[in-house]
This record gives sequence, structure tokens and C-alpha cells, in this order.
Amino acid sequence: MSGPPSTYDALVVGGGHNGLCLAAYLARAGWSVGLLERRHEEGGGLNTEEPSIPGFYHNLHAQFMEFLDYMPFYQDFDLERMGSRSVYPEAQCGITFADGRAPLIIHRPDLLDRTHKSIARYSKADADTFCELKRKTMEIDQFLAASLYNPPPVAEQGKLPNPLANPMIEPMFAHLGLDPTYTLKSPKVIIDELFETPELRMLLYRECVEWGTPVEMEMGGTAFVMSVLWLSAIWKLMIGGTHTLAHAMTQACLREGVTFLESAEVTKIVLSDSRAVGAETADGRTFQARHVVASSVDVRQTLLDLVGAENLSELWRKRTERFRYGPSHVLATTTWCLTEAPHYRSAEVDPEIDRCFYTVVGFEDPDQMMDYIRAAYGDHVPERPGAGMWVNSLFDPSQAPAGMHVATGWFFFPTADRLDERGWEEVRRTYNDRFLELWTQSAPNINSSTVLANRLYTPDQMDSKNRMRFGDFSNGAFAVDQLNSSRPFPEAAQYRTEIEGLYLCGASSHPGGGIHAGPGYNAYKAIAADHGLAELWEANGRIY
Amino acid sequence: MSGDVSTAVRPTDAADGEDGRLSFDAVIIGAGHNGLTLGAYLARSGLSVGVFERRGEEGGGLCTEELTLPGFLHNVHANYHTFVGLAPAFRHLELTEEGLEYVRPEVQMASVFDDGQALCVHTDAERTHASIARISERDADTFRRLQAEARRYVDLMLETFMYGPPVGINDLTKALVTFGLDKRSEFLEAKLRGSTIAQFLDRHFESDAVKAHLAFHAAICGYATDAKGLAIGFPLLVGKIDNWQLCLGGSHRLAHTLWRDLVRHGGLVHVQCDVARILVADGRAVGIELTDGREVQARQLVASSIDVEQTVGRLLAEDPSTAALRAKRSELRHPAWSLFSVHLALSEAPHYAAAAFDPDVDRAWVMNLGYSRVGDLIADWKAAREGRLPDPHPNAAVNSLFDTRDAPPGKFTGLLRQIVPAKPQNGSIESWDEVKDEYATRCIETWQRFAPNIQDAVIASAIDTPADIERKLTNMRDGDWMVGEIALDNLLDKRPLPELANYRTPVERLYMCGSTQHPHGFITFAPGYNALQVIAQDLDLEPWWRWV
Amino acid sequence: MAEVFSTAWLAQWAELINSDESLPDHAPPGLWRIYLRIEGDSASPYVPQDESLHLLLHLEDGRCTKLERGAGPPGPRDLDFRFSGPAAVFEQVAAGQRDPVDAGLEGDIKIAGDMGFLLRHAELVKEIVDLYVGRLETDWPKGKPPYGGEAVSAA
Ligand SMILES: Cc1cc2nc3c(=O)[nH]c(=O)nc-3n(C[C@H](O)[C@H](O)[C@H](O)COP(=O)(O)OP(=O)(O)OC[C@H]3O[C@@H](n4cnc5c(N)ncnc54)[C@H](O)[C@@H]3O)c2cc1C
Ligand SMILES: Cc1cc2nc3c(=O)[nH]c(=O)nc-3n(C[C@H](O)[C@H](O)[C@H](O)COP(=O)(O)OP(=O)(O)OC[C@H]3O[C@@H](n4cnc5c(N)ncnc54)[C@H](O)[C@@H]3O)c2cc1C
Repeated sequence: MSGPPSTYDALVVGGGHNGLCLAAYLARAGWSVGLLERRHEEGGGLNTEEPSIPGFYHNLHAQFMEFLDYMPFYQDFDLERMGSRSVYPEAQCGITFADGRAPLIIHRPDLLDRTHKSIARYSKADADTFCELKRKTMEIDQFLAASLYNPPPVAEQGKLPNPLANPMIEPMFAHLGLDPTYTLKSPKVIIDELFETPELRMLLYRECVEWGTPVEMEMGGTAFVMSVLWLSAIWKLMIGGTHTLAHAMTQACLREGVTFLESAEVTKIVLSDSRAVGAETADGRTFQARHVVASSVDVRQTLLDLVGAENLSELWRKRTERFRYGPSHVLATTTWCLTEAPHYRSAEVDPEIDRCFYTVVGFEDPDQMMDYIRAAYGDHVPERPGAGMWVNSLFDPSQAPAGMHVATGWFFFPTADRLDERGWEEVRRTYNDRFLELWTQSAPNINSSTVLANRLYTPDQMDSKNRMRFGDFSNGAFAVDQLNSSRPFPEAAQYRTEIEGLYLCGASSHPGGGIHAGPGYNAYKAIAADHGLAELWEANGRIY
Repeated sequence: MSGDVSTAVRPTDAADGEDGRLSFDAVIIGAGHNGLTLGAYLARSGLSVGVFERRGEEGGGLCTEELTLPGFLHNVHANYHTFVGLAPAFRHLELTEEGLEYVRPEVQMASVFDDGQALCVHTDAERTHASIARISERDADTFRRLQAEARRYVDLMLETFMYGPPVGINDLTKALVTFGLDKRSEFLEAKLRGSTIAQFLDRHFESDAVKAHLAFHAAICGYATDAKGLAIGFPLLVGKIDNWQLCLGGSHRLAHTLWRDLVRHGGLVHVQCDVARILVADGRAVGIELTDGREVQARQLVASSIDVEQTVGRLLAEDPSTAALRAKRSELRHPAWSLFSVHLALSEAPHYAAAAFDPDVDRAWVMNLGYSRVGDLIADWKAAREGRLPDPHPNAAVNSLFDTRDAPPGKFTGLLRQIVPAKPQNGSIESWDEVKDEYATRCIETWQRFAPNIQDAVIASAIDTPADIERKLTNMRDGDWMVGEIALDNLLDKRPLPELANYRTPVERLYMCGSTQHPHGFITFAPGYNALQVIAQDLDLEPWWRWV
Repeated sequence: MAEVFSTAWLAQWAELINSDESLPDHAPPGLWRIYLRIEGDSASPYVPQDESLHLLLHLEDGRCTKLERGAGPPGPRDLDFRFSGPAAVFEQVAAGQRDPVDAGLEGDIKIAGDMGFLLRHAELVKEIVDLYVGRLETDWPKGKPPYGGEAVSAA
């Protein structure tokens, strides 16, 4: 009988980067691991394709890598040796304007003077405040990273987790010199209180939602620090597209001996005596797990669809059913094949904007930005199609044919269920053209004569491609009641489930969405503790 | 608290290779199936292997993408794998152990003709006989004898003509005479080296429809109906006419399988690495340089699985030992024709009008839409060579009939593929961008004519033109999907040039291992496998695979 | 007369090869190592089923320098050609009942090795084969093929 074995020490469901991460550690600890992926490619959100013209590569999901310097998986498995390479652009994120006003550009943290100069064109006070906060934040980045790469704090026995009782918050705010009452406020209120320049506020609102934090989420002070102060402007570009990272991760897994079972859509997690002992696939294959089944698919799909509500306790069933997707963090990816890179009107003032990694286009004032975000977080496609755009070929010629350029961007949209199939089809047909009108106003050289092709990839398609339900890229809403020790819900926050042998290792667990491999890494810690596997963490002097 | 945190050691980035440079025993250029095959064998032989691939994915022609809509898997290039189980790599690399699965559809291929008749080739020879007999009893008997004869010597033919360095056509014909083949065989004879497939068919068959079907089958194998000498390969094609297999989960899965085998044995594939130069020292290949300036050391050998033009003209542009080859660049043969593909997302499978004649056509895999006489094919070849768009007679395949994983439940993928000129207008391959939409519509209309329900079944479509082939795989210049024409004077020991035919090059330890080499393109694993034999000799490797 | 596949039979065959005057003229220079794997089948009384006979034939400059039974198959480096097939087929050929070229062509005897070499030296191959077929006198103590009229064919 040929074919891969059917029994493994551990089965991992889903071959996104979290599944790959957990599989690699388990295999290194000596277990046999079968990784089940329903698609024909590994990587999940690490997805790069040529959707319109061959040779023009677009990252359809994850674009920027903000965690490469922190990610244990990246270091412990020498992913650069496995073929992963990155560029760290100097001008990181900026906003540009149709009237040719000065752009605002935030540079890498090691180039704060340039950031200062850019903001100071509008307000020296804002420049001072921002740069000082950024500098201080980067001083404690390892500490912030440690909060991602550890399971969330365990709530006191019999008590609900209190998001403000987290011991890291007070010292963090003290170190940054921020008023501790900010912990209670929304990022928008904080941004408005700290900065006076409308242009900077707009950019920071956008930065905030970029990382999935609703800008008007109350008790959002910590999220503000994480998403606006820490995780913005430390972005790396994966050479060749983000899928090359998945490729490197896969080679690392192969070297550890992980078995890849692809085109293997898990439809059932098999239980025996209320223990997870295996998985069944849509095409009728069954695989057995001696010790562990770990699912990187979100908690609702894992527990309700794969395990079955009938196998859950009343409490777990209710909790799982109440786990929400969106409205935060639903994106559409817009892809453009260009004969030249955009040349912005604002470049007259600061040419760096033409070499900025991520450029926000199409918003002229803070109200437009807030209307846009509110529309997307509400239930309709925003009227004014502004976007954030990446021209990766500026930094990596391999992503476009010689002399050409490739631009990829994001629109924030409502969840996939807000429109029907026809509705999304209509959006795919028309929205890019509407955006192009705005884009041309800011960058006159981008017009029908320099655009070779374009395509829009919408939230409903993300759902069908990766089972990222409703297009929610965090695999579950970012909301205070679904974060940290409450993610996905308090009883499930330690990666273990009430089913013995079944673990969660995907983005619906702490620390959520993003290419950090935090859930996969933390799930390994939980499994290692339960099964006496080697403590492979805290290598290289790492504090996590 | 901030104090101890900020002084925490920041983990260092991983180092590249020894002395900051990547270094391997064997460096292979291009991760198509030939490069991967050679790499996997070498890795299993204990060499450290690095494969450098220009694209974002390994596989080359083994490429599966969601071209139309998420959930619909389309084989952008190679769709029909006809050497499954025949190529030694299946045994030696234990490909099915990694989970590679194939299906061999019971109705392998079919023709639906203008007059409403149809013909099917089954995996069951008796059913094929019955199908042909409805058109011509005599041809059915002839085909049965041809297939039986060809099947008997297919192993020997593969061993002789595919999985070993090339033999000369003169040696071949002399041997045929010595062994008295003309007397032993009804179909194989030395004079076939001067015949076209059309002539071979005229000699043995009577019905236009049967001849058209057999010529169609050879055409999909890249064999032009009217090219002198190709008749000699025809019996081999018939010997495996019922071994057309579909790679479950998409053709790309084979690429993944080869890749995994390579990595499991210590090799690595580096994607998005355009090789710019082969480094030569003292007449010997010692590494490569990538377009981003990085150098990779090759301690024992470099093998190129890409085209001769790039290898010699670009990667060795300054190397004096290959100057003579560069001067011969214009002698490299590329066909004037290429393939035009329309990939479709469908809400239902085609239901052919000809199912009234033979219901089996609805479960056939490779479908000939309307070539009813050999002349129809010859007209297409002629048009293609003259740069005119032929009236489409695309071949059609619906993989989802046999692989439910390649489309969402209840939905289907469809593929239409047509022989076309590489350069449809004013000698420019880019002119495809202007004519492609209209031509795709004409291809779909042809399908509708034979399967009327297709009209309302199309959910989405994506076009792949010869220009797109070249854009995606730069080694397939001018959309040359065989990387070197299939013509008698460009096969065997003349392929791609006599000087390069034995996989060695004027640069010591630099080998050619891709489809430019004998036998030719297609998912054969053969150029990679054959290059291995030569490399094993030069490096004195233990040939563990031989005799297995 | 010697029993098929016996040591004496092999010696007789070697002698036949070496008595052929014209062979060295056709033969390519150097050593060529040929391995015959004669696989036991249900029909042959000479090679038990599930066992194989491993014969090694060395030709050096057209002379037979070795023809003997090996304990097992030679290592991958120790041979240049391999002919393998069911014992009954080899026996039928030896008995002059089966055309050896047909047996090769039709895949009953599988041939592996540098086929280009075989084609280039087709005449030599034919001569050796003809020797085996026509002139090797063989004793069949356990019965002579085709064994009760049973045709043996792999096809
Ligand atoms: C448009 C978009 C942009 C983004 N941009 C960024 C960015 O710039 N930076 C960043 O850090 N993050 C970004 N993200 C977020 C990031 O992509 C995700 O958080 C991350 O991919 C989650 O990883 P994962 O491994 O948990 O899940 P996924 O990557 O979603 O992988 C899950 C895998 O499981 C498979 N699967 C699902 N169901 C089954 C089943 N039943 N059986 C078997 N397999 C199954 C899926 O096919 C998929 O391959 C973005 C996401 C989106 C959608
Ligand atoms: C439209 C189409 C349909 C086809 N249908 C079939 C079919 O049904 N059945 C079949 O058997 N065959 C089919 N083929 C042919 C088949 O795809 C090829 O014969 C096969 O892919 C050749 O394999 P290879 O490994 O030699 O080369 P390739 O698969 O072409 O691989 C070569 C690799 O080298 C890479 N490369 C090129 N230049 C460089 C460089 N400078 N540096 C680094 N890497 C480089 C390329 O990106 C590519 O990945 C089809 C081809 C096409 C185009």
C-alpha cells in the first residue's frame, strides 16, 4: 500500500503559517506530524499570485511583515537559510494629497530624524511627540513581543479576565510617559488628544485599523500602543512576495520531517471517548493522532463544524456560537500592473513619497478618512474609494517584469455577508475604476495609458479561498471581549479545549491575526507542557 | 522595568551560508520537473543540492492556479501526464509515497464530429474497438493490431528512445534492418523516418474520422500531422495512448512531490531567484550569480534546465568556450506555433449532442471538438505557421469529472486548448493581447456548438496566450512549450544542437538537463534523468537507481 | 550436451563465443559486462518459482572472459547491460522455439543499459544471440519447453 502514513503523533489542521509553525516545533521535539491543508498550496494568508498578467506578482493577503525580527519560528528554523529574504524600506508609510500638499511620511525607527522632519512641516510639537513616543516604544519592543509570544495571563480561578488587570499595562504607560487613563480610551480619542495636525491624525487612524484595531474601540489604549506606536513603520517587504516566506517555512518543516497532506480538507475531527483521536477529510481519507489534534482553523469552524456542537458542553457551545467575526479588519485587495511607478503631486515637496513602502491615497481630510472607516465597519462599501498602496517593485524588481511596476493596495470593506454574490461582482467590476479616478488626481501619471491591467479581490473571495470567514482577516473580531485572556473566549484562551487532545493554534487565539506565528508558537508551549516535550523556546537569549 | 527589557539581547538574523555565501555541491538552474528530478536524484545520492528558480513557485510547466475564481484549480500548462508509471522516477523517487495520486479516466479521449458521430478511446481496448467499429470495422481491427503491437514494445521503446542518452537516427534505422524489423512488424519500418503522420494514417486506415482522431491525439503530443519523419514516433505514441493520467489536486502537486523529495534529502529550492550568470573558473563551472548580485557556489556541478539561448547567450555571455555555440543560436529550432488556452469555471459539465450517438462522450477526458478529417488539422498547422488564426477546433477537458477537489462542490473546471500561431499579427507575440478576447469567445462558441449547455454554464473565464506562456516561463521563448521544436532534425542526437546533445557543454561540469535536450518537452522526467546518467559517470556516483 | 544453465552448459557457451572468429572484428574494444536475470516462473522446471538465476557474461574485446552463475545480482556499478525475463522464455529461446529478437521486442525479455550502444552494435548483438539459439546443444533432463504446449508470454 503506497501513500503517506495514516497515523501520526500529532495532526495539525491548516497549513497557514501558524499550522506550519506548530508542526515545525512538534517535529523538532521528536513527534511525527501530519499537516492537513485543504488547498493545493501551503501558506494560507502568505499568498502571492499573478492574478492578471504573468510576471506581475501580487500579495493577495498579507503584505508587510512586521514581526520577522521577533518571530521565534523565523530564528529557530533559520528561515533565511531556507530561502526567505526581506527588504526594510526606509520610508515606511505615508499619506499623499491630490492638491500637492506636503506628504506625511513615517520612516523606519532608526531614521526618526526624517520622520521628525516630515511631521515638522506641519507641526513641530507633533513631530516631537510622535518621535519621542516611537523611540520609547522601540526601547521596550522585546517586552511587547513577549506579550505576543506567551500565552495570555490566566485569569484568577473563578473570575473573568479583566483586560485592565494585565500587569504589563501600568509600567508600559509609565515608560512611555502616557497618561494611564488612556487605557480606557479609544485610539481615535488618544490620537486626537496627542496630535493637532489633521494630516497626521488621518494617517494614524489608518495605521490603527491597518493592524486590525478598531480606531473607535474603547479601552483601546494598549491596542493604540501596539498598533500605532509599535507595529507601524517597522514593516519589511518579502522579496518575491510573502508566499516565499511560506515556502521557506515549508522547507523548514520538511527538514524536520513533517508530512504534508494537501488537498486534504478536514470535515471532521474524530473523537473517541471524548478525546480527539483523528481527522477525516472531504475525500474520505482518515488520519489518526496518537496524542494531539491541533487546529489552526478558527474556533467556530473547529468546534462547531469539525467537532460538532453535539460534542460540546452547554457552556462551550454557547461561547463558541457567540464568537464574532468582523466588522474590524475586512479588506479587499486591489491589484495593478503598471508601466511606471506612481509619481505623486506631493513629491514636489518631499520626493520620498514616491519611494514610500505604503502610501495612503484618496483622502483629503480626517472626515473623509473617518467616514470611510465607519462605512466599512458599518455595513456598506465606502462611497469614496481611498486606499493604501504598495509598489513592491520599487524595492524588489523580481515582483514585476523588467522596467514595469506592480501596485497592490487595500480597501477596507464590510464583511462578506453584507453583499450578495451579485453585489460583490458589481464591486469587482466598478470599484477599481472609481479608485483610479482618485489615484490619478494624486498621481497624474497613473491613468489608462500606464495601467496594463487591474483586478479586485474581495472579502467573499477571501472566504472561499482560505476559509477566512466573511473575509475577517483576524479570524474573529478585534474587540476587548475577544482579546488576550478572552480570546477566543476565557475558557479556551490557553490553546486547550474541553476536548482532551484537541488544541487551538490559529489566529482566533491570542495574539490574533498577523504573520507573527504567535498562536502556533504558544500552542506549542501548551502542548509541550501537557506532553513533556522539550522546551524549545527562549533560545538565543530570547525573553519569550 | 523598562531598563532590563530594553537591554534584552535582540536575536540576530540568520546567516546565509558559509562565509556569507550560499554553497552547494550541485546548483541547478530552474525548478521545472526536470530540474527537480535531477536535483532529487542527486540529493538521494548524498550531494547537497540547491535549485534556483526565477518564479515564485517551483514546477515550471507543472503549474496549478486559481485563474478564474477561488476554489477553481486550473492547470495553466501541463494537464495530461502520459508517462505516469512509465518514467523511472516514479519508482526511484517513490513519488506515490508522498501522497501523489493519479486517475486514469476510463474514457481517455474522444472525438465529436461535425456529422454528430463520435469515437472514444477507452482504457479497455475492447471498448475502443467497439467504438471505432461503429465507424469502420476495418479500422477498428487495424487499430487493435497497432495498439497491441505498440504495447508490446513500448517498454523497449521507452528504454531506447527516452530514458537513456540519445541514439542516432542512422544507427537506429540500421539496427531496424539488422534485426529485420520490417518483417517482424506490421507498422514499424525504417522508411517511416521519411513519412508524415498523415501518410502513415493513409497507409493503414480508411476512415477520415478515425484518421482525424489519431492525428489529433498526436497533435496534442506536439507531433505535427504533416511534418516529415515524425511517423517514426507514432507507434510509440499509440503504445501509451491509454495512459493519459490526471494528477489529483492539480498538476502542481507533482512539482510539490518532487520538491519535497528533494528537501527531505537535504536539498533546497530558492524561489524568485533569477539566475543571471554562470560562474566559470579555468573552464569549469563553479557557481552562479543571481540578478540581485548574490553569488552561489557550486562545489561539483551546475546544471541548467532552461533554454539554450539563455544558458549560452545570457548566463555565459562572456565565456569564450561557448562563443561557437552563441554563433549558432539562429540554428536553434522553435516552432512557429504554440498553444492558446481558455480556462473556465463552469456551473455544469458539458453535455454533448453526440451523446445521442455514444453516451460515453460525456465522460471522456480529452475531447476533440470537430477535427473530422486529417485535412482539418493540416489546415490549422498551416495557418499557425503562416501567422493566421485558425478556425478554432480546440480540445476540451473537464478535469472535475475525475477530480472533485479541483472545483467547489457541484461546480466544474474546463479547459480549451487550440493550436495557434505564436505571433498572430505583424510578427509580434504581444499582438495576442489584442486578439485574445475575441478568439477566446470563438473557442467557447465552438464548444457550445458541440455541447449546447455550455452556453449558460460559464461562470468565469481566464485566457492564457502564447505571450503569457513566455511571460511566465521565460525559457519557453516565443511560447515554445516544447523548448525546441519536435522535428526529426531536432530530435535524438541532434537536439538541441549536436554539440550539446549529450547533456555536456563546452564548460566542464556544466550540464544541460531540461526540455531542450533529448527526448523533448512534456512531463517525461527524461532530460533530467538522462543528464543524471552523464553526471554520474563524470562524478563517479554510485548509480543506485540503475537496474531498479 | 549439458543441462540447461549448468556450469558445463555455460562453459560450452563461452567456448562457442570464443570460437567465433569474426566476433573480435565487430566487437567494440574494452570490457562489457552483461547480466542475465533468469526469473523462475510456474512453467520452467529448471528455475524454482520466486527464485532467479543470475548469470554474468563478460566480453572483452570480443572474447568471453567470464560466464558464470553469481550468488545474486551484481552491484549497480558492476554491469553494463541487463537482460531479464521469465525462465521459460529463455529456455524456449535456447530450444530454438522462440525468436530472441521477438522476445526482446515484445518485452518478454527486458533489456536495460545503454541502448544506443546496442543499436550501434546491432550486428554483434545478433551474432551472440544467434550463437545461443542455434548452436548451443542443450540437454533437458526435466523436460523440454514449451512445457505441455503452454505458451509463455508476458504480454
Ligand atoms: C487581505 C489581508 C491582508 C493581510 N495583511 C497582513 C499583513 O500585511 N501583515 C500581517 O502580518 N498579516 C496580514 N494579514 C493577516 C494574516 O494573513 C493572517 O492573520 C494569517 O494568515 C493567519 O494565519 P493562520 O495560519 O492562522 O491562518 P491562515 O493563514 O488563514 O491559514 C489557515 C489555513 O487553513 C486552511 N484550512 C481552512 N479550513 C481547513 C480545513 N477544514 N481543513 C484543512 N485546512 C483548512 C486554509 O486553507 C489555510 O491555508 C492579512 C490578511 C488578509 C486577509
Ligand atoms: C500551455 C502548455 C500546455 C502544456 N501541456 C502539456 C501537457 O498536457 N502534458 C505535458 O506533458 N506537457 C505539457 N506541456 C509541456 C510541459 O509543460 C513542459 O514540457 C515541461 O514543463 C518542461 O519541463 P522542464 O522542467 O524541462 O522545463 P520547465 O517546466 O519550463 O521549467 C523550467 C524552469 O526554469 C525557470 N527558469 C527560466 N529561466 C530561468 C533563469 N534564468 N533562472 C532561474 N530559473 C529560470 C522557469 O521559470 C521554469 O520554472 C505544456 C506546456 C504549455 C506551455
